[in-house]
Amino acid sequence: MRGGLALLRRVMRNRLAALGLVLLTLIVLAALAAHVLPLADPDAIDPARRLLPPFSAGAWLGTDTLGRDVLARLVWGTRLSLGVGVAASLLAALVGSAIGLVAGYAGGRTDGVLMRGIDVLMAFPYLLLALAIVAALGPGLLNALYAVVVANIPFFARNVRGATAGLRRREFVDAARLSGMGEARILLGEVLPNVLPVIIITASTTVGWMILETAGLSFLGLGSQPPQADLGSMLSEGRKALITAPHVAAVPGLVVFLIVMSMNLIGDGLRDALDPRLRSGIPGAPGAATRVERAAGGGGNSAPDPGALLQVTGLRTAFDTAGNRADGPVDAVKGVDLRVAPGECLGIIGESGSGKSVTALSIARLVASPPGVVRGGSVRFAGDDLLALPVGALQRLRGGRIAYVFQDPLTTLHPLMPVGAQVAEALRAHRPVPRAEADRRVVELFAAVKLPDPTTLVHAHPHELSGGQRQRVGIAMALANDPELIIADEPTTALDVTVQAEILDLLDDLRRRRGLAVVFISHDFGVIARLCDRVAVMFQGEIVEEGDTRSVLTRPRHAYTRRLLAAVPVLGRSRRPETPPRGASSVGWAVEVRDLVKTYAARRSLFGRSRPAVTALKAVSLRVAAGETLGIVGESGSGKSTLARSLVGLSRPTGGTVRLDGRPLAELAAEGPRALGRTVQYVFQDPLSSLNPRKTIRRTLTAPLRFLAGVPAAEREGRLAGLMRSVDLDPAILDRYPHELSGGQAQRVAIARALAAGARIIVLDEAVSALDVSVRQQVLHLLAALKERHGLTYLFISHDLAVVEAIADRVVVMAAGAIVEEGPGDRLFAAPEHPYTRRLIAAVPTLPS
Amino acid sequence: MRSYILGRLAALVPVLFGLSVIVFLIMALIPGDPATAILGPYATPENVARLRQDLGLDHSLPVRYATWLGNVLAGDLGRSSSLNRPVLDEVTERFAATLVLAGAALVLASVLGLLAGILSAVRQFGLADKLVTLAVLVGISMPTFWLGLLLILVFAVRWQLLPVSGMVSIYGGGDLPDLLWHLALPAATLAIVAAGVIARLTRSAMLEVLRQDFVRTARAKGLTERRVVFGHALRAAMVTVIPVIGIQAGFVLGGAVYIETVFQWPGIGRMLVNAIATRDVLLVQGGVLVVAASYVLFNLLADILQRLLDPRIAP
Repeated sequence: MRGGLALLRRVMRNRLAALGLVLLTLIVLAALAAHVLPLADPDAIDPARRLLPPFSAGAWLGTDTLGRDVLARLVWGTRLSLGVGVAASLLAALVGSAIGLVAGYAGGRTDGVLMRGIDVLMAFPYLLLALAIVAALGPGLLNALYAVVVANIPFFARNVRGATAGLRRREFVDAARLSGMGEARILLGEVLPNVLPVIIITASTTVGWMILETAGLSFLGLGSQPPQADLGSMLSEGRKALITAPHVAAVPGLVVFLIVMSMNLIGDGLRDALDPRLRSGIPGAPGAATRVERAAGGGGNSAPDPGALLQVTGLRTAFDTAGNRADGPVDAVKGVDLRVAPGECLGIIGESGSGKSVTALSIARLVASPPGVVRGGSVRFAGDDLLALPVGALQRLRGGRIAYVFQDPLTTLHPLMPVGAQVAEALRAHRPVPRAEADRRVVELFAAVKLPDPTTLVHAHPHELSGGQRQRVGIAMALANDPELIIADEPTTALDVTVQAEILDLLDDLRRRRGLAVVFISHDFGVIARLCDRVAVMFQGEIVEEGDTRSVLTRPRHAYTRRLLAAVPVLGRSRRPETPPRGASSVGWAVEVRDLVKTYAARRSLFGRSRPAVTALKAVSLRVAAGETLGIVGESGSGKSTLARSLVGLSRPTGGTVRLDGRPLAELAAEGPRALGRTVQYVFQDPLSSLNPRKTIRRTLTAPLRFLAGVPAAEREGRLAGLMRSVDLDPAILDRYPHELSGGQAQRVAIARALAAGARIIVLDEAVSALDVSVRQQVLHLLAALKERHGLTYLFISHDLAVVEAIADRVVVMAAGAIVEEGPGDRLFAAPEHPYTRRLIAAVPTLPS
Repeated sequence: MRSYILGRLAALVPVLFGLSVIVFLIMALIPGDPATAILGPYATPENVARLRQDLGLDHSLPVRYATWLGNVLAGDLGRSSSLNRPVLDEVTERFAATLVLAGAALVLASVLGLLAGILSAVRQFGLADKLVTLAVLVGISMPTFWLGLLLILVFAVRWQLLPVSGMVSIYGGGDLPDLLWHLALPAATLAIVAAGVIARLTRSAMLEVLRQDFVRTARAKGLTERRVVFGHALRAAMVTVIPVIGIQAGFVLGGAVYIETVFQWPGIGRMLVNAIATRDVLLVQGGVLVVAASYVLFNLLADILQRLLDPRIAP
């Protein structure tokens, strides 16, 4: 109810939606009060008073062909049309949503059968299906209603199914299952609340159509039959006197129009209020260049430095969103100074929200605007102030003398264009090169960035390349016009560590051979140390320290830099004290995996190419003693996540066995969610996707207490508070929603959920990877303390070798679905035996000691 | 690409099958006995029994469906009882007239909708955007049967610029200018709603795409804004707009029923409404089947076009 009121308030804030709501309310009130209002008898025929014009005495809106009062008929007709339209809408929403929910949640064959049926309904043009149904049932208002309902069911079924199928794979549904919730409870308690906005939005778009279509069927003579009249049949009758008395047809049509329009206005308002993407400020399509609004004398007063290629002085960039207009725009960059000499590499390092990317994008005015705005300072490139350049001149510089390399090449390359054409376009944007010559240049560039088989690869689309190959294309694009400055914004963050090492080598090599200046943005000290001459450390929009990379890293002066550096786990630095090897306890191993195989079956389409079978796990075996922490490291595609999910039954292995505390997983699972959830728990990578966005922390944590531990309602409050305190959270935030928490707090909640029912085995799947360095360190400390206190067994899966070294007693290294090496952490990292492990360790960027 | 088309064609088989079953069942399950209805005052028990046998009504439903489907596949849709001519002849003639009307309306709606949508996305919150948004709101809320009447009043009755109704002039008509003269009002009326929907979705698709990282990359390359909007953003937005145009084709075909009634256009929509009123079962069946099957094929074309644009779509 509280949510409903809040929603209403948000909708009313939209002026047009408020207008629609007022209009519709008036119409509905008039229709509801039809028998109270002082109206003439709508069916009283009076041939003497035929076709009176509006504003006649005793007939405000005139009379129709039979002398009946138009106003009275209008009110009663509106009542009928509204009633039928709303009833149709409710019916279609109910049936369609139920089909969509079941199909989307069940998946597989049920989904197939239900959706094929919906496809067949969708194969009819909208109104034609309604016509066919009326043809079968015979004309009549109720039959028209059924016809419109059937014709609209597919819209609900499709939208709801899509949303449900997306949610079914979300981690919070997996987490709910591990909290002991049954399938029906998950569907109604976890999925439905998240699907509800989709149902409301679909209803708000279709209710207008349904009123239109029922009126339309009546207009065609297939809906309401005389003497009963809705707006459509009134319109149809009025048509007979169209030329002599147009008001008889015009008035009911206008009312239909007003009803549908007010519903559309409300629908738009609802959609804006419910769509989270629209809720967070202005949806804004960014323009060609970031807006510059420098106060008089706010920039350009710096003396140009003739030795600098790039000189940034007092740069201030803000985000001007509607939500914060009251207290002014928020500065993301608060007066940054930078200087880059020709051929020099400057690193900018900081945690998320430090303003490092915004600084990098501000240089060529690529910060999305709106909402971005440069509020002060100057950016001089070879003497010119870029902030004062007209857009045309700026476009000549972009991709010409200043080139960018962005973070995730999958989203930064155009998905529908061959990669070669995208690079050729960069060439031709700056020089009138004939097409054939541009193509030849692209092949040369691809060879220069060491892409395999460049002549074939130019025709590939981004999705056909690996992450590393895509980033090489991005670099080739940046090199196309021999720039003097490359600005690289986290270019290796989305890549595996061995691929990252290759890309860094390539960038380093290119920069030295071509004498490029580079601004390199990263959150990783190791990466910066490998590449950059100088480094600037950013914190909350300001540069807190800058200097020669080596001296900043070895002798940090600023307290923030010191804190950050101390928090970075560095491979080879966090040797743990020798722990005696542990064996099986009296009940056996805590976790015992034998010959686990997972194969994704080949898929063959009737005519198309077939997808070969993929083996994600090739007979993996491992054992973990109670109280031990086993680290599992590997790159993407190594099978480490499939292994982790198999341990809690979220992925069904094709072969092999898993035993937890000596009992087969299959046996535990067969006992129901309770037995399994009290033995093993799981912490996912991203807490925001593993916590249900529409449930408070209290409700999320109550689930395992109630369904797994069976804690009676009276005792839950105390248990919840204790649980929160055990993960260093204030119980006062129990009633918050996940999006109101920081990343670190949310992950602590996820850990608390895993601990709630007393499971001793915890699978941590990249559980600290999404967190910033300093937060990550705190969570790692918390995990260590909890293990000590509760005697937990951890399986710690990560791609980050340094983090694993810091926490794990024993480590297994996985590659291509198999374990390639296994051993105590200190031995394995100090003296790796397998060539892959050696390559992996060598690829990790290190800090100068 | 060829395997994609073959795959899609194969996927059509069950849809067309389902469609034929529904069309058959709707007509077969009509309450009341068609033989009695056809015979009217001559419905003596003997006559009814004989006609039932002639119509094959004494067989079981699956047998009747198989017979019916066999005839349909052989091009025999039966004979219209009210018009006393083969259903197929009547349907093809009327459907051609509808295709002219609906085709013109769809082209008009797509061109107008795309242009308006792009304009209002690129000039978001500007005057053009506000005007387009208002026009779209009015367009999608408009009962077309009412709008058609108003337009007739203004353009045909008051100003006498355009004909009130019909597809060609009765005397000396029939050439292309005459057809276009008659087509103007009904096609424009029919296009209004679809144009609004297409404009609205083009706008939101463009706004979504313009925020994507690859548009920033295009700008970082130094491309001009025209190239960024039309070469990069629109290309990606079309992937979401094309299916919408496919769906709108269905709404336009359906909406044609109203427009044909209002403008006395001799299309299949008006034929269907009349056939329902006279309970001409075979004519309704044949008309619905032909229109629905054509719509399915049209959507296949839309899918193929979308696949040509987007190589990521799996076969």
